[in-house]
Amino acid sequence: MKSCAKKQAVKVSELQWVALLVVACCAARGLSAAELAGDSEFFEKRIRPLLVERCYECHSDRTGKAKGGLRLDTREGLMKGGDSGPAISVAQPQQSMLLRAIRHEERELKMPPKLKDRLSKEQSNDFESWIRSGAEFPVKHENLTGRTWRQIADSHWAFQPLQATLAPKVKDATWPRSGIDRYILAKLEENNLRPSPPADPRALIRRATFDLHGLPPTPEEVEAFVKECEAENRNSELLVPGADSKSGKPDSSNTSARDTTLEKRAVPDAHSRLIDRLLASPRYGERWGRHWLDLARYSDTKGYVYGDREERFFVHAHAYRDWVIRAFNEDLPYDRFLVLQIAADQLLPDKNVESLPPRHSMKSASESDLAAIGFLTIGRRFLGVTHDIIDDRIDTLTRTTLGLTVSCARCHDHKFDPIPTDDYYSLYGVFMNTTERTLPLTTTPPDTEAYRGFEKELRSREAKLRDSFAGKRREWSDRVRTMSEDYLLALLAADKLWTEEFYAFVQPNEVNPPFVRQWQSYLHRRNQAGFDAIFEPWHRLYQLPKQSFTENAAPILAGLLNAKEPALNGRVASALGAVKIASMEDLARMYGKLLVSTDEAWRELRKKDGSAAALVDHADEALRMVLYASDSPVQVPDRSFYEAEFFFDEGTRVHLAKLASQIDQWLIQSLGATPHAVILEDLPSSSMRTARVFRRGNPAMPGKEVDRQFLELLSGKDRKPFAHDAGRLDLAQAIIDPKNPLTARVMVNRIWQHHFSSGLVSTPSDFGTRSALPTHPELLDHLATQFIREGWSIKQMHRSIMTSAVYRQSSEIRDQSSQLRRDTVPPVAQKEVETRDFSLIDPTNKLLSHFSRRRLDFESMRDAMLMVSGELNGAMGGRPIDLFKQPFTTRRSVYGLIDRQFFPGELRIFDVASPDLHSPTRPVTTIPQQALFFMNSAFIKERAKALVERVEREVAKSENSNPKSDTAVPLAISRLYLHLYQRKPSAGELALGIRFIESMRSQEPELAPTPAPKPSAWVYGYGELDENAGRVKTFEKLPHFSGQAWQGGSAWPDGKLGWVQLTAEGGHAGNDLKHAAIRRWIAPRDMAVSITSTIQHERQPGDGIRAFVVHGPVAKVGEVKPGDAADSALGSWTLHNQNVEANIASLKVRQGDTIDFIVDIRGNLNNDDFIWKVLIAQADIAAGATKDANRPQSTWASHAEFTGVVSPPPKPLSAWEMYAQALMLSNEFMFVD
Amino acid sequence: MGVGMGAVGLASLLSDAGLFSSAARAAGADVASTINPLAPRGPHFAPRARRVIHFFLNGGPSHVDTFDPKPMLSKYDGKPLPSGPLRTERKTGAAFGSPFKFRQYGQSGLPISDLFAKTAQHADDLCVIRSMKAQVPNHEPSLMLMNCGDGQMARPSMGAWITYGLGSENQNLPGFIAMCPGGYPIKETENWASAFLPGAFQGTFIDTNHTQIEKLIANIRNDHLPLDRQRQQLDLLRQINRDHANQRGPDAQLEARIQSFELAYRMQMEAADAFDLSKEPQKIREAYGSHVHGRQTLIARRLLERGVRFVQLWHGASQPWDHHDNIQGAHAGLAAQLDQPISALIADLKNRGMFEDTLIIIGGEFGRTPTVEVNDSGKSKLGRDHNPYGFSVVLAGGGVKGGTAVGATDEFGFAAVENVVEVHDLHATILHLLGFDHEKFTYRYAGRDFRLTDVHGRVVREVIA
Repeated sequence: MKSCAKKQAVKVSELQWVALLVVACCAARGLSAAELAGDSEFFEKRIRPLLVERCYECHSDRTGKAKGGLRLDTREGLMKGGDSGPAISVAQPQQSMLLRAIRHEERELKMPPKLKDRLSKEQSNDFESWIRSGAEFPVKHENLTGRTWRQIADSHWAFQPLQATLAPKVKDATWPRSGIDRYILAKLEENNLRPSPPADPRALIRRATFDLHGLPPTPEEVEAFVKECEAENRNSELLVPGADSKSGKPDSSNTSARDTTLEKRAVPDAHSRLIDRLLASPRYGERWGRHWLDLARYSDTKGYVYGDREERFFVHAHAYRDWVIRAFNEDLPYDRFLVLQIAADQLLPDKNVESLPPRHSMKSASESDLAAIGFLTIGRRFLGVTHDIIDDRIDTLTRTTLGLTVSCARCHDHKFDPIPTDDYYSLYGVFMNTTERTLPLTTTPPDTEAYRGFEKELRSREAKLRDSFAGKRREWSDRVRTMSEDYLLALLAADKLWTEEFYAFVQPNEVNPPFVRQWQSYLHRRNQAGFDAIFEPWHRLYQLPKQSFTENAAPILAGLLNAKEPALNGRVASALGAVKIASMEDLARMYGKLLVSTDEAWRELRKKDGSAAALVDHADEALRMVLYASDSPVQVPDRSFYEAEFFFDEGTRVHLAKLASQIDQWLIQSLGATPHAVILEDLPSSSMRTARVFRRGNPAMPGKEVDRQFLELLSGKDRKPFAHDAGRLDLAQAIIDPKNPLTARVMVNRIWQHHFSSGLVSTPSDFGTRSALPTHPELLDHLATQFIREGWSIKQMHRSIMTSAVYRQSSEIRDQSSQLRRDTVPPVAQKEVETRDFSLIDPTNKLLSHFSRRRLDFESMRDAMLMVSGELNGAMGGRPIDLFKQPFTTRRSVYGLIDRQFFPGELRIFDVASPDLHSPTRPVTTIPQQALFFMNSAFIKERAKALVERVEREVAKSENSNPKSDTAVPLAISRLYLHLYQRKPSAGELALGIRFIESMRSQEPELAPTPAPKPSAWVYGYGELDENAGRVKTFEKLPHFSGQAWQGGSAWPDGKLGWVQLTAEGGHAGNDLKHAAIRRWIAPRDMAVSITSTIQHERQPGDGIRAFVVHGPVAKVGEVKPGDAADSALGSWTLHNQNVEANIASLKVRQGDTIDFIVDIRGNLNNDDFIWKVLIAQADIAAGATKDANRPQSTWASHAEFTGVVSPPPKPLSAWEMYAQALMLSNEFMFVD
Repeated sequence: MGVGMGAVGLASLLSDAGLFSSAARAAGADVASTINPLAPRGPHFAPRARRVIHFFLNGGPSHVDTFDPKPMLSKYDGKPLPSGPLRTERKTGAAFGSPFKFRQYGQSGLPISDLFAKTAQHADDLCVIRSMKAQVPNHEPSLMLMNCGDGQMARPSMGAWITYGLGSENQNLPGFIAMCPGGYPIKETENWASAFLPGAFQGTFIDTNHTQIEKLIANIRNDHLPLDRQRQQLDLLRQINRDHANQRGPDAQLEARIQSFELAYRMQMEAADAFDLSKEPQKIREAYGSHVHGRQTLIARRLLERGVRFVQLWHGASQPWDHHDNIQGAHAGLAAQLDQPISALIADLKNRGMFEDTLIIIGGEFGRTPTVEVNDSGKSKLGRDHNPYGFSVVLAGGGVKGGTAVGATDEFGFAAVENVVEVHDLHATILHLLGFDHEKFTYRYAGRDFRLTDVHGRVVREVIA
């Protein structure tokens, strides 16, 4: 029986294997394409989307209101039809009622009813072809067509409640240390696999330390741990089975005996103590915080912004990063951790939110917790387009916490999961009613001069924005009032309006779509509120078809005008009586004129009587309130400028944005600034709006209103709308509800994933119907249940997982395979066969028969190098630091600058999570650019040097105490091995190292003595040219050499000197004419010279540059001769995107004379970089003069002789440094066993 | 070695399958596929083109002044268009006939303006899509649409997709290179982003105003170790790694990393060589011209020749082709910089037998209005505003039907009206030429199979030879 099962398992795997190879070959040969094309695809592409989009709102099961009894979501529904008979006829396709309806062929049969929703000709033809071909209605995906949403919700594993199971029985009862192990072992045994033996203590401590700290252990820590383990083993050997009277003799039939024993053990073993020690260190938060930052798409910058107006750095994004690290270190319960990130502001003590459950997760928060909301606010800015910003928040939130891809439902119902568009907009409504605010993270600022200076300037910048913003809001409201007619007309074609990415260019006199949308929702609200004395005619006539407008409108209008109760507003009634209303446009004009004249009357009144509070006539006053009430559609919302910017024209936006960015810049730059965070805050209830579904995700097509509430999938049909403000707190509560089956599962899976390289569910942020099935579903639930039971403690979860036997396994595959068939295969063939068998059964080690070897990620790699070289700086928190700028920082990588717009190549090639999007997993790629970084980068070179220095110090120390010099080399090698690999070298390794060192030393290239730098004839500076006099008025040397260029300071452009720069080949003109770039040549002796040069300006934008060559005679007292008394301009050129030759045939110079090569910006500063290589040659040397080594230099090339601060050439690596670098580059350093 | 190499070979085989088959993915091949993401792979069906060079005329070149002649526009010059102008970003006024002369070239008689007279010598090899259509008259979203198939959200660029699909023929160079003289175009690195695809597929950016190899490829030179000593160092490393691997048994990841050092060592030479134009004969260098665009185009050819999959050549930092005023002089200046290199490239590729399987793309993010742009007081600026409703993109080389014009704009050149080609359609067509069914060329991310063409796109058959 046993062997039979084994065979079968292999067989199935072989089949899969063959299938795999076939697929692989097909892909390679190009056969796999287009073979599946057919009806189902046509249907999925052309038909189903239209049905979903245009028909299902009324004709499907989902909405529960199949109008006219017609359901179009199954083939049966179509064939059966509704009250008027079958919808389709395959026999007579042309006659199908569905076709006739969608073509609007008949007056009474138009679907969708509105003309503007009518399907295109092409689309209705698609329907015809589909019916002709038999109207196949494939149930391809498990979506709403084949099964109802409820059915999916009821059957998909991840949507089911957590199920606590008893750990399964296993055959090998000696192996498990905990419940976790029994789940793992049971699966292994099912597949005829066995777990691997435990890893040796050295591997184990290295693994655990990297896991929890992202750093290697120190050699001392390793030795101590190894000793403890050895002592423990000795003790347990002494404790022969049965000697422990309490546990009794282990009995193989009693599977729980052993772990009960272990769990009851009073003294934790060395391994458990190790885990506790690691968890208690602040290094833990820095490691695990970074995992969370991947999910939160953390970045210190906003992504693309318009550079002329917006600051591209976030204000103190790092406050969020530091909060996350702290939260991990403090083991903030995960539910609390989430609540604070979603709604910390709602829990401030002064908020007094009532009716909160008395749970620890809902305790009041402190100001410093506001930083947590960075989770929502540090996404890309999408040039300010709100819908995209909200989408990014919904996406990050739902994938991170729930493992659900809710944002798929932005444009249509989720294709695979039971998430309707309505639910997306329920969440949209939550974020739509929030606004951003920058707040200090402490209410008690320091009483210092620096802080007071900071605050004063801050208040002044804030006031500037506030005043200007308020003024512009009034200005625009006034303008929109006078344009009421235009706006009401625009309302009739609202779905043709630009969407937000194009609002940017609206001019002041144009209709601006955001106001149209406000009008839209304003009228919608009035319509919802019952009889509308002002706009009732509008509401009633709005839906009428164009063709028959007049005849249908007349009776409605008459009815409204004649009715005594409820009665129309008097002014509206008389205006209606005065004009003919033959279309909605007529009606819009009528209302527009009425509103404008009311507005004019009001302004007149205010002119006469500044204290007037209302118009006298009630009807007039009611009309006035349309334009002046606080909920009037003409009001620019009083939110942060960034959220209201699209209500303004382009010019105003730039103006206000600059003021806003000046505040941000001050917060970022000022050293007196206290930490701030950009938080979300709910709108006051008077400003709250109910979200409407945007059909096809298009904000120009608002559909029905939806409550702010949680997903039906998780909250059930009887869910209640959110009660607190915009609902973020309710949303957080729903997410952390212990009955929610996803939150705990998703998080324990993420923890598992980072311990074992892959989660039990390999799609950690998608637990929907397309997710990978859990490899161990019961284990997942076991962990999730335990997680909740133990108070959502992440550290406790680490303890459980890391003390298990499965975590302690060796990573060596060979041991496993030889165990597998130890007794059946002849030893010679054993290795080959078994390895293959093994990989057939579980090639990717999903069953965890051994520990999966893992490569260090970028952060661990970089931090480990700093750690072993003894340089790691343990400081925590604070502003981000550029990791790749020299001199290199020695801070941990998590504090490095993450710039999503200019994401450094080094981070990209090492697969660091892209800060653009939520990243649940990092790919592990191997590309040669990584190797180039290891081999050649200055960073690695410096670490190798520092490590060698460290070892040399250590060796010297021990040499002093033990002066036997012949041990120095082996000792140094041993120290290197200890630091890098936490073990001693083997004899072979020692020999290899000694051989390498000796060989490298023997071939050490002889260092040529550094030649004394030749005095250079060139000087690099800037200054101003007196054009009229043709002389240089001022000349200052450029103060800083960057390694490539002379410039104002280490940053370019420099704060003081701006863009001026000189490089070997050319340079850049300074910001104004006083900062022209000047390359100066000083004549070393009297002679005649010629100048040959080409000036290049290769830029279209801007107005180009001007270039000059000026000869400046040295002033020698009493030696003034006629002709060289004054400077003289030798030539001037104006260039714009062109090249010119700038040559001087001959010129007499005296020793010390200067020739200046000057470039300025011409008219304005824009693309003023240039290339200008100059060759100066002595012209009065007789041709054919003998070559003489002592002959003085006779040509001067600006390019070849370009020098900076003369520094000695980099010292080549010594043999030891080469050796240390090689060891640092090795796989043993880069992989964790 | 045998076992180790077997593992690598297996990994790359799996990676082929991993790209296209969910069965293979289920078997865990996605782990293996990322070990060497740049290993060459085959597409769905026999490709017509194997590599791509994309001249990106950023800023929006005017189609009515280059590849889409409009006699009616000249007729109405100075008068308002009968149809009235479409809404674009800024105000425009009367019709503005092209100041450039169009002539017919080649057997096909394809009309091209004097701006591209040299390129026009290859008219019979060019296919002009005259009915291109983008979405909004605004640079940022249009750049994103043209490069990444979506105006707003972070999506992988076309070059990243193609490198993901095909890998690279040369492991010593990046598979996808974007070059631009003088700095970034607007939208910066987003133009060649890999978004949710692994970082190895992202375009490597090179500022071609630099000529030093160190500035072109990060860490390509070692300034503290001569090559022969580095070789000895790497030999030691290999020995250490080999011993390490032998103790542990076959592991494709360990093996791949061992190999990567050998690749990197060779890359140091090969990359320098690829960028060293002094290795080209004088005649060739002269043919391309000495301007930065000549240099850049010639470098591109050397890269393509060495197996780089996708090279994108930008005209310059920011958006040089954005001529709201004085378009005559401004367009002439820029076209003069590109015309010779493009023409030289086509001739050069033909001589090398590379033209047949290299796809050349020439175009911007949108076109320009046939009407003249006016300032606030209504005065003509002699330039043109942005126009996404109709513009031209030129294709040539691998699988492209030369001497053809596909689709048409209206008689004034405002909007595409005949055989309208959306940007997604262009992408579908490009992928088709490279051997991909754009609907099946997907990447699973966030629970969804993403495509370059999102849920759109049709292959424009008229483009294909």
